[in-house]
Amino acid sequence: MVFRIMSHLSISNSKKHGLFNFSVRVSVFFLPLFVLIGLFEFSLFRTGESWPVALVAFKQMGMKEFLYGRKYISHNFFYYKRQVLKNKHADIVVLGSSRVMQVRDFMFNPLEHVVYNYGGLVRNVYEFKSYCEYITTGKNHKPKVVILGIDPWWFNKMRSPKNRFEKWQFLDWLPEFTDHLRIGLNFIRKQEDVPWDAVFKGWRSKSPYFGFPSIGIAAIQEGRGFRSDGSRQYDPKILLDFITNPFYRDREVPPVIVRVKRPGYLTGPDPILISVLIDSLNSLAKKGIEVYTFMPPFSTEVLQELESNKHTSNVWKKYKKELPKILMQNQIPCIAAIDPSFYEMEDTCMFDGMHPSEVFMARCVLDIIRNAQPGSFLKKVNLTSLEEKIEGSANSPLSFSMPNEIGLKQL
Amino acid sequence: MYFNSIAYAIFLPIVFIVYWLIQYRTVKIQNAFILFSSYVFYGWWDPRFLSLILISSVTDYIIGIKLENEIESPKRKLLLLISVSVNIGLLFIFKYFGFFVNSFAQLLSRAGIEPNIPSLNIILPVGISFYTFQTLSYTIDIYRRQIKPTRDPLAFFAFVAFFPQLVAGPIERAKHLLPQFKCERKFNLSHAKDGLRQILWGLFKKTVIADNLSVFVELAFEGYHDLSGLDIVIGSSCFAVQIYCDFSGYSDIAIGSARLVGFNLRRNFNNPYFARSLSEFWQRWHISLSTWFRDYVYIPLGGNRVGRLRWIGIVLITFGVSGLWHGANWTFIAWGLIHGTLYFTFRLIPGFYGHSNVVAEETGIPSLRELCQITITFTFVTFAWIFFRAQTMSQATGMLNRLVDGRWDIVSLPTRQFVLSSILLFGIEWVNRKRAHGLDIAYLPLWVRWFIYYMIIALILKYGVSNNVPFIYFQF
Repeated sequence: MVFRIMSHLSISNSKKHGLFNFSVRVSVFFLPLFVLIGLFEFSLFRTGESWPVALVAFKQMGMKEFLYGRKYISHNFFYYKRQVLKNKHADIVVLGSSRVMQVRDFMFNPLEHVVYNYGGLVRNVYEFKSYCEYITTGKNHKPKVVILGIDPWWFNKMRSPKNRFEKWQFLDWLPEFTDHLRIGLNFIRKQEDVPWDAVFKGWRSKSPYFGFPSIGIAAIQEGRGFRSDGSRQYDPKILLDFITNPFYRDREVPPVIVRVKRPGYLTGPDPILISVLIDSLNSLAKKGIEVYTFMPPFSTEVLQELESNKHTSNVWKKYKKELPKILMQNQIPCIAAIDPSFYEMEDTCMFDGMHPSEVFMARCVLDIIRNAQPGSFLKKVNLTSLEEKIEGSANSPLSFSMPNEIGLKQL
Repeated sequence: MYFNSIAYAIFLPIVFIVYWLIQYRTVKIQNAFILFSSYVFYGWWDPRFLSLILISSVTDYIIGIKLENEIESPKRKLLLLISVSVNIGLLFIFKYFGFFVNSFAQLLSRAGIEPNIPSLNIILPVGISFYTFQTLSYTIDIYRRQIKPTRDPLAFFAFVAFFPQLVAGPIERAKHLLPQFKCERKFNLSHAKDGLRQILWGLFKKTVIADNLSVFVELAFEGYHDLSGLDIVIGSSCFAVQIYCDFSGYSDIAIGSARLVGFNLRRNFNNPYFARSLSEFWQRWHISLSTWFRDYVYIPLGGNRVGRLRWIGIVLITFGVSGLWHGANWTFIAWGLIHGTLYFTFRLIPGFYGHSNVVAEETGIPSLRELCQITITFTFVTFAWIFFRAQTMSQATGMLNRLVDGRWDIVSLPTRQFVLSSILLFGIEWVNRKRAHGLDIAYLPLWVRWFIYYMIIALILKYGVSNNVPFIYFQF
């Protein structure tokens, strides 16, 4: 039937309506392809995998526990957190790289509703400077407290600093568009398993192990992603692995040690970058924002490499000793928690060579709050509940809550 | 932007729709839109490149008009010289300066002098060799009084920058393409359909065959030290198929895209690997360039109206310059000279010259003699491709050494993909060898055509390389 109509159009075309006929033919020809693309897009949307990050941020702000975890499409991480930054009025903010992502809102009880972890939003000094400018110029909500985790590579000498804050907003969705094509082709070419279970369940279904309402296929299928407070929920299988093998190993970014050994891992500290950091922190302080800094830890193996490797040893020593001094001289509190033993913990509190667990971060937060100046906003935090939580975590250094029985059976 | 990119997949339909929506306005508006689209297309790589195309266009537009008005021969020659100097000058600065400086420095260092010659660190603008040759032919044709200059700047600028053929040809002649910019263009359904077919066929050749074979070619040319003689043969044959699919695929997409907006570009490839002699090969391979060199280099030097020795010299010069046109490297010059040598050698052998008809036109199956001729021609062409693809002369000679010294009983390169692609490609092209392109199947029933289209789309989706592998000829 379709072919008969098409043949008729073909005969009548050459008269007047060639362009119309051509459009009809092309549309009919591509219709099956469009239907397939439509189904594919519908499936992705149903799981929340393809939601724009602005929508994800909006949903998460409306509900306390919402896990956002994509499996196939890039998290578009920077823009996701930036969307939150635009819209959320958090009074206690945690900033830094992925190494600070285990600071949780409950650690600040009863202020948890005003806490947000922007871990991953800034990955160098210039991005932190841009963040500060957004705050001090009133473009974004002014928090009461900023807790900044500082990484040693922030002071690497930079030829051309990359600052994602300066990128054009319109480009936010472009990387995702190419992801759609890549995923579609991967399903066709590599015959990857289509996640029918996730499509069937849809977004908002409960994640395995911890039971968070989920957005995205990784959250629905595996229970990993970003929580509503911006902190990161690691793959629960990592925690289950720890239950069966309670020893330290690179479970998240293997092998961190290889990265550290590469020349160019640490090339600083560049005094210009240090002064940019200090100036930025001071600009916040001048606006009445309390500023606290800390230096997140590395595993013993990585620390030994940093101290012994000829490329890193000098830089590392300067970073370790001089940076806290410089910060303190500028009345900026700094906790140099560069080693799990700083809180009498072992490497088992690390997900890998560079990512500490929430149990370690809870001790760091406790330290920050205890040492906060009198009258600080942080003094409203109920320290007793945090201390009790820490005391109760002696056997689970990776997480305060381990996967439940259902999760174990699923495994 | 690349033809095999998402950007082009969005760009072309937008251009198509807007272009035909304004068809009821004037031709000038259509030309203005073509020009704007072409500059967007070209500027997508780097907007700075647009300045070069503007220099070339402005120079030849003005000189074209002045040539027409000028009667005195010396002044006409001077005007032509200016045009040639600007175009070849641009080409020289951006493409050949580094090559000549380095070659000169190497020469001096062999003589024991270590010169401190500055080098220009500039990138080669995409397609500069193509559009400079196109504009150059325009002024030369006016100088020869073969065509009249246009006084419509919009039409001329659009002719120079016409996006389908801007970066890798076909190199169009003004007498063929420029009039198309001046006449009213009406939508033609059969042309548009055939344009889409040709685009599909070009995409298939590029993404499914050429880009997949490029992996094996890379293995063969980069790791030739460890390969057998048979591997070198397979690797260079892979390159023969790759470069054909890559470049003819590009030309197909270019011609198809142009047809969608109502233009007819000249055919650039006509089943070159079915050629029975080298002269026939050059009538079928990169036709727009070979005819350019024929008309503007070979014939002005004397062509075949001279004595045999001089003719051999002219052939070598023409092919040598053609090699240099492809790239600033001794390997390209060697490739050109090999072709030149083979060309006049073939011409001296009875049975290896002529062949203007389609192979096995009546019978459908080639005779044993034709099969031998095709095989011999392909072998020589593939031999020359080794020099074309090699990065250095030592790499090319190293590969030839492997052919002589290497073992012939081991194959390390995977051959299945090469064999399957070749059978599919040449099978389809053989069936349609009398037609305009491999997918010129308008004669088939609709359902058969659609089935074939869907199959090709499925093959592109399943096996096509999607990471924007650049077209080989973009570097030229």
